[in-house]
Amino acid sequence: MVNHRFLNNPNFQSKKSAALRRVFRAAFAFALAALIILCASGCSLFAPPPPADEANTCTLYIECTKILENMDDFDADKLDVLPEDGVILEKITVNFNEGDSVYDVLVRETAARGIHMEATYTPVYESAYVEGIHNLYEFDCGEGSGWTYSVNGVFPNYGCSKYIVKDGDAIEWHYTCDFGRDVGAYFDK
Amino acid sequence: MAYETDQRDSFSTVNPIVAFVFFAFALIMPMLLMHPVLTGISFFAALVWLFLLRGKKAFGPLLKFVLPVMLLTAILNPIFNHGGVTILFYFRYNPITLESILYGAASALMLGAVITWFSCFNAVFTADKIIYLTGRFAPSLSLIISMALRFVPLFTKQAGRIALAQRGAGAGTHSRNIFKKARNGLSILSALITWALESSVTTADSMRARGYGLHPRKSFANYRFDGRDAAIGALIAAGILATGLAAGFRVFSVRFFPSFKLNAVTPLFIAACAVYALTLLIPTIMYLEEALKWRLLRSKI
Repeated sequence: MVNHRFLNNPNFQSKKSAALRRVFRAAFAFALAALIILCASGCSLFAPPPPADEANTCTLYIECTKILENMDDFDADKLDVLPEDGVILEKITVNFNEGDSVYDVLVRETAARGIHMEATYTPVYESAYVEGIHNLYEFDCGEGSGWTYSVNGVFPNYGCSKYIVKDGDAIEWHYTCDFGRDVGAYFDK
Repeated sequence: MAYETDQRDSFSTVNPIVAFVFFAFALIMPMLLMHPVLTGISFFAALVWLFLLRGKKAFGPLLKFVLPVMLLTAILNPIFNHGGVTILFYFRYNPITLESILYGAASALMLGAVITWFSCFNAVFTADKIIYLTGRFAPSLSLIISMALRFVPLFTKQAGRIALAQRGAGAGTHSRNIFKKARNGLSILSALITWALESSVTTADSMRARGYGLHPRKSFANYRFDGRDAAIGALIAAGILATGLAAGFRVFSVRFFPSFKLNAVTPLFIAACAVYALTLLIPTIMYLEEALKWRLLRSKI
C-alpha cells in the first residue's frame, strides 16, 4: 500500500528554494522594520533642525569653567577640547520658534555653529538628557560631573525638553563637577 | 565534531600547557590593546591558520556569522556613540563623527580576530586536552565541562537523526504551516529528552563498570613536555614578553576620543609589530614547515 502522506509531503521540495525564500522573508522584514523606524522618527532622520522665527529672541551661553578649578579629576585625553577660558559659547542672542524648548534651542544653535553636542531621550523624564557638549561628557571630571542648565538664573528641576522658552529668556548651560552644587543648583530642600 | 583534529597540523601536537598560553595571549591581546594595526595582524594570522586547519569549510561560518557580527558592530557604533571632534553629518539631531566610525571599525576588527581565534581554539583544543590541563586540580569539574561540551554536538546529531526518522514518517519540521511545524518540533524534542535520559543512565552504568572513581586516577591523554615543547614555549614566552614590554612602554598607544590619535610609526613600533606577528604566526609556520617536509620526503621516494 502506498503511503500518500509520504508522497505528498511538502518536505521533499528542493532545499535551495526554501533557503532562498527564507532570505527574502528576512530581507522583507528588515526593510519593513527600517521603514517603520524612518516614519516613526518623522522622516527627518538626517534633516537639520527647522530654522527659527526672528520675532522671538533669547540668549544662550555655554561654559565649563568649573573644570578649570578641578583639573585633578579631569580626563587627560580631553585636554585638547577644553577651552582655555572655559567658555564654549559666548553669550549670544538667538532666535527661536514659538513652543521651542531649551533643548530645541541648544540643538539648533550648536548644529549651526558646528559645536559637537550629544543628547539621548530619557522616557522616564520625558525629556532629552544632554550627555556631552563640545566633546566634554558627563563623568569626564569626576563622578558628579555633567551638564546642567539654568534659565534667568534659576535651575529648573526638570529636563531641558520640558522647559518652553519665552521671549527674552537667558539660557545658560553649565558644566558641573559636583552634582550642580558648584554652579549654584540646589535641588535638595 | 570537537574530536576531529587535523592530522597535518603540528601545533595540535604540542603540549596543551604551551598551546593554552599561546591561545590566552592571542585572545587577550586584541581585547586589551585596540590598536588597529595589531588587531589587523592578529585577525590575519588567525584567518590564515583557520584556513589551513579547516580548508574551504572555514569560510561558511566566517561569512554567515563573523562577517555579519563585524558589520553590525561597525554600523551600530556610530548610531549609538556620538563622541569625537570630526562631525560628518547629523542623524536624528545627534552628530555622526569620524572618530566613532573608526572606533566601530576597530572594535569590529577586534571581534573578528577574537572569534576567529576561538574557532582555531575549538579545532585544536580537544576535550582530552582540556581534561589534561584542568584534570589535576579540578578532576570532576573538568570531566563535567568536557561532557557538557560533548552534549552540544551529540544532541544536535541525535536531534537530526530523530528529525530524519520523523520526516520519513511524514511529520517533519519543514512544513510551511507554522503550528504544524511547532507541533512536530515538540515531538522531536520529547523524543530527544527521552533519549538523553536513557543515554545518561547508560553512561553512568558504563562509567561505573569501567571503574570510574577508583584510585589512582589517570588521564586518557598523556602529553610529555619534550624538547620541542620547551623550544616553542620559549619562543612564545619571548614573544609575549616583548609585546608586553612594548605595550608597557606605550608603543601601541591609540586614542579614539575626542580625536583619533595613533602613536608615531617608529622603528621600535615596526619591530614590535613584527615580533607580535611572528609570535601569532608560530602555528602557521609550523604547519607550513611540516607540509614542506612532507613534500620533500615524498619527492625523494
